[in-house]
Amino acid sequence: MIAKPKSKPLKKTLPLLILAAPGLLYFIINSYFPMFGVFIAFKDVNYTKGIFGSDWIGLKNFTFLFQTSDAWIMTRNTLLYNLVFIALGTIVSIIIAILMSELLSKMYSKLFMTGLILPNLISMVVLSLLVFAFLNADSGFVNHSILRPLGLPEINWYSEPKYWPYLLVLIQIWKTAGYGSIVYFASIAGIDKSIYESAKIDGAGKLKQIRMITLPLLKPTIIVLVLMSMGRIFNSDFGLFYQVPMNSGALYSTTQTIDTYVYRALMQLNDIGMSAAAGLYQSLVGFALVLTVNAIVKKVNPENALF
Amino acid sequence: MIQTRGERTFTVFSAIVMILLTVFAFLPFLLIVIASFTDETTLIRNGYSFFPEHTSLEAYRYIQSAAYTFVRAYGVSFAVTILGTGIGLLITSMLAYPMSRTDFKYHNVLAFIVFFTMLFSGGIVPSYIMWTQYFHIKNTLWALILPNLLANGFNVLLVRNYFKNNVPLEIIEAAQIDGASELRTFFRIMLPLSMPVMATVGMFMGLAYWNDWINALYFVSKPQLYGIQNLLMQLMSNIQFLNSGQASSVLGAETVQLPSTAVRMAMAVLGIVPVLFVLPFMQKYLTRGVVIGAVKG
Amino acid sequence: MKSKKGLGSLLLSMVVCGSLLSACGSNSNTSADDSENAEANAKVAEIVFALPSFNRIPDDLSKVTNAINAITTKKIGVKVDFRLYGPADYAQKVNLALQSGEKMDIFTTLGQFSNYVSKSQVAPLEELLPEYGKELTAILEKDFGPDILKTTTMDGHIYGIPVNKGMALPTNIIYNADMLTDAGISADNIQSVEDLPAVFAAVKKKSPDVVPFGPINVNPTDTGLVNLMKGASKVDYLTDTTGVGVVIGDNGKVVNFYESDVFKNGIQMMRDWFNAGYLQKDTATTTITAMEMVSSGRGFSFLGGYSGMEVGQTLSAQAGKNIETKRIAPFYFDTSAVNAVTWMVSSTSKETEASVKFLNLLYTDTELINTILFGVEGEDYLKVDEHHVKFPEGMDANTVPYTAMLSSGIVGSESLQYQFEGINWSDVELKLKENKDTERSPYFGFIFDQSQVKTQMSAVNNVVNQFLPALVSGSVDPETIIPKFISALKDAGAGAIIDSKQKQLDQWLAAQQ
Repeated sequence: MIAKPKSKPLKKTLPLLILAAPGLLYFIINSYFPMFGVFIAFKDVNYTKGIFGSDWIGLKNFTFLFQTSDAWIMTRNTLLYNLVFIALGTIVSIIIAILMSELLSKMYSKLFMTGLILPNLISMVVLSLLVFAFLNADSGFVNHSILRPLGLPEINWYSEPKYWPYLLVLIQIWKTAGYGSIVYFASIAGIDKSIYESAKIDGAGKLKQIRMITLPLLKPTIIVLVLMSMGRIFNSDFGLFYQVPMNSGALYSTTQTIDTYVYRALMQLNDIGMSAAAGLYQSLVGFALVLTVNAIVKKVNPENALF
Repeated sequence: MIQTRGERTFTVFSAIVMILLTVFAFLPFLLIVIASFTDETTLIRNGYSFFPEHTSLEAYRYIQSAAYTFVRAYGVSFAVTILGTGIGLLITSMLAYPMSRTDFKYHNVLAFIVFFTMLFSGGIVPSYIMWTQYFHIKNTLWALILPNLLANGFNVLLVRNYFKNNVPLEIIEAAQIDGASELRTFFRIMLPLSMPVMATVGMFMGLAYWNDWINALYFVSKPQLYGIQNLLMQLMSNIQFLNSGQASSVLGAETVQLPSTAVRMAMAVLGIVPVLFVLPFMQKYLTRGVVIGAVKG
Repeated sequence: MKSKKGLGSLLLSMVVCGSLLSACGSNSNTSADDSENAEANAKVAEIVFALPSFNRIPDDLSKVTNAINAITTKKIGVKVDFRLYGPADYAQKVNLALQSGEKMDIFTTLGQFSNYVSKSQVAPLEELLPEYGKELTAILEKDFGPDILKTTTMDGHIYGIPVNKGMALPTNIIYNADMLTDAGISADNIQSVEDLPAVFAAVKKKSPDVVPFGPINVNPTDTGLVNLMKGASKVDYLTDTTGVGVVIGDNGKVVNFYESDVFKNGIQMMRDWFNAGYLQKDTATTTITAMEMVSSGRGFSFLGGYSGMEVGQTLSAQAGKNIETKRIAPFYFDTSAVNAVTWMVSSTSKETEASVKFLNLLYTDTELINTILFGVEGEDYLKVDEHHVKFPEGMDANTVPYTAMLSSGIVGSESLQYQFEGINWSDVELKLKENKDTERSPYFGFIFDQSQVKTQMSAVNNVVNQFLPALVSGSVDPETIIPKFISALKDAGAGAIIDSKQKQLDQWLAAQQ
């Protein structure tokens, strides 16, 4: 073991700080300097006076977020979808990662990996056209080629909100789970193979190895990823909730999220004060949540905390 | 090494599930490819189909007529992706390394500083002022590389997490007892031992650069600097704009002929195909699991 | 070590790309030098002028920019930095420039005039126009009427110049004439909207595969149906697009349009059409436009606002079908029908004088406007006669070095623009005549300042987005949905908007006398 010299801390920390410097500098330039822009959220922007000279108006820019009866619906939707996405996404990603690492040596494993990342490469605009191809009432696959031949009643998908929670979860998982599994896959690849060897000698079967070795070793990665996604609990993928349901008004009760509301509300007004306010509100909620959860993790298991 | 029966069953099970999932993932892409080869009138009359009534090469002929633009856009996309990923990977891992060292005094402070940027942003206007008025990157290739994509908190924390959990501190300490400097430890020990995460993050960054069109929207107005995704997004958003009420009130009698649905699909295909060729090569690094025991010995 | 090799090749590729980058950097340096030289050579004011283009944006604008500058430096001593952006990029790029304080002198609205005014983003022009914009004011009065600048005047300040073209867009039914003949109906049978159901029924009977009717698009407020109701029943939207505060007729009372009988009857009509199977089931969400439907032979007709009488010909050429049009409702001038496309000078502009000089030339100089729209004569277009042009041999709109011809409806004066070969010149004259003949709302010139009710406006926009597309396409039952719509609007603060509007309108009316 190396002795930790208390006398020369600089000699030990300086090289590390130098390594960190370029990255830190980038974050300062790209993120921290522009962050002063958040004060726009409290201003009534007037360009003749300039952004700095505009009047302070307190929290007035925030009120439109709570003005409607939709305020509750959009908050509920955003929260619930994100919770489901985080939970289900994590589980499916881990399962895929474990299955994929099982098939590593096989010829076709490259095909699997490419296939699983493919959905992530399709833009939401194109995806919304594909979903429409499946679901449109007149000539969509589901109505035209499945329900009609079976003699089942056809469904008007774009005006029935009750199906959309399932559809949106399915689309989201389809699009992101394969991509998300890569991180877990890399973590599994980083596990010392000799641990499995000794478990095998002890007579542990595959499932037991997964339960006793793989999952516990993935725990830190899982915690970090879940913590990071909690920070965006009030945000949503605009394309998924706006473009995929084709902005259909009949579906708002299950597709309206904070982001789609803000977009629709400000489309005409184009007010940067109000959009800054919405962003700040979303960030603050996420931040508070992460701080809380991180504090709990730190108490239980300091090794795994984010910071 | 001989597989037991239980293991073989598990392998077969995995293979079946993965084949199903892969088919499930591939099918919609196949539909895009087929739609790009479908006759436009057929698309509108019958909708998308895996077995279109009439096929047509019209969409690709349209694209071929602008071949020069497309080749140039590919060039821009490749240059930006390679350069951005290279630099980004370097500074990301350099920043992640001190953060992973629990014996380093500021490791948690750094982690917090990085994490904070994932949540709060000042919006596009201050960042636009920053990059255009202080760094003058407007209408240069740097405009596609520097803003927002070069390093992000998510990737840094991911790399830190891997460094911290998969490379034991003892190895580093052992190296330093042998007289290796921090720099040497980082490049010679840490990076080679972390190929899976470097490949993962490299892939994330590469895809982010490849798929990015926002930077060009904000910082570039020279068509010479448009990447392949910009061509696609411009087409898409122009169609969206022209189909919206705003356009009809503005344009009145003026009607605009825009590339058809099939062309949109063909462009989507052109944006995805190069990635399909590059991905399999990444896997080699992704799976380079390290037998740490061997290093220790 | 294998990994080292990987890193090495990575570094190598970085070096290669680095040299590529520096090449790029030096390029932009030289162009900066050029403009500095030019500044040293002549003491001319330089302005930035940004135009949306619906055509392909060419890689190199230098030729056309030089041609423009040759005209402007000679005639008014102003040098123009000409920017051309696609329609989707335009608002984004212009707003970023305005918000970040970049140089951006002359730009247009694409429909949100009063927003720019209420945020003080535009400069008042009333003091400069009498001196530098005499010809401009004259041509506007000649082509439209003396009242046109009222639509861009707020609190006595003129904040912009509307594009000068045929502004009246009466509602037409646009249909496939061959299908109509096949169905055994003569075009003379279509006189008003009441005649349409019989036509649709005949078309549907003759060819059951054909969709008889489709809305031109279902984005709120700009559907054919809403415009039809506005024109036929004299509805003034009072400049915002929500429709919650309108005046119907001339009683001066601001009401919620969605509570009116005009709206209910219109929606009920569309519902009847929908129930009779004249529309597609997915009308409210489809991404295929009515025009695409007609082009593919699957659709029969749609409603659209078009000026002049020659539209059928243009549309036929585009669709490859025999398209005819028939007017079924008149147009009604409210303020936003005229100020929808307005050219403005940025409030941060340091060259307001030069900007007004340029605007003056833009609206009155045949050479300038046609250079902007069609490029350089001989290279980008050929002249056919006094009013008509065509593309050079073997070229079209996509292959010609430069054209922005599709922007003709959003910039300058239509009466000075060349028309494309084959378009009847008398149609331009007809459009100008209709500018003067079309009925103006009694509140023509009133502009609603939304800044006091921003919160309510944003909430109401959201509600309108939610309910209107399904209603105007007839896809939901108006009996149950309209009451829900109205109560959601009330929750969102429609009352406050109506009150604020009524107050402003009363003040405006008082000031008019």
